[in-house]
Amino acid sequence: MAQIVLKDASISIGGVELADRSNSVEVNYEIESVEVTAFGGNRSFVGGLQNNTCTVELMQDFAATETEATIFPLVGTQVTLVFKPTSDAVGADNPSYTISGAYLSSHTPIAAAVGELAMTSLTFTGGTLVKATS
Amino acid sequence: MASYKVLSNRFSLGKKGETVDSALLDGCNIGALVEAGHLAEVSAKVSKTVTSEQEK
Repeated sequence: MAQIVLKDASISIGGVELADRSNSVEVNYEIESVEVTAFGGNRSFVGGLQNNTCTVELMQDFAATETEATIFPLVGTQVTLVFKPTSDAVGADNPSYTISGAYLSSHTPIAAAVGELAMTSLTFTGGTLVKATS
Repeated sequence: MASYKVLSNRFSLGKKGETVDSALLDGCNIGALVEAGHLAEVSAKVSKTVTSEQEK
C-alpha cells in the first residue's frame, strides 16, 4: 500500500460537493471510552458512544450555489457529510466516510485579515460515522 | 411525493437538469438546498377535466 498525499479529496456537505472550495479537511472518528475498572483489577475500558468531529476549511464565495449560499442555511441543523480520499469511485483503496446527523453550530461568513483569502472554518460534531469500501 | 429539479452542478445526488424524488433526498436538508439554489421544487401539473354542457 502506498502512502497518499491528499490532492483530490472528495467533500460532500449536505449533498453538495465543495471540494473545489476547500483546502483542508479532518475527519476524527472517536468512540468514547467508558471505564469499567472494578476492585481488584487494573484500569479497564469499553467502548461507549461515537463522538465524531469533522473540520472543513472552505474558501468563501458569495455567488449563487457556492460556499455561502450552501453553508448559511445549515447552521443549527444536522447534515450528512461524505468524505473520500480521492474523487474516484469508492473502493478498498478509496473508502468513503459518511457521517449522518452531524451538527453544524457555527459558520463565519467573513473572516480574514487584510490581504488574506477569505475562509470559513466549519466544525461538525456528533452523528454516526459509517465507512464503506464498495 | 415531491419532486425537485437539480439546478446546480454541485449537487451530488443528481445531475443538473435532472428531476429527483424526495425519497432520494432522505437525510438531506431540502429547505437548505432549495434556499441555496441547488434544487427547485417541481410543482405537480393539475390535469383539467373540462365537462361540456352537453355531457352533463
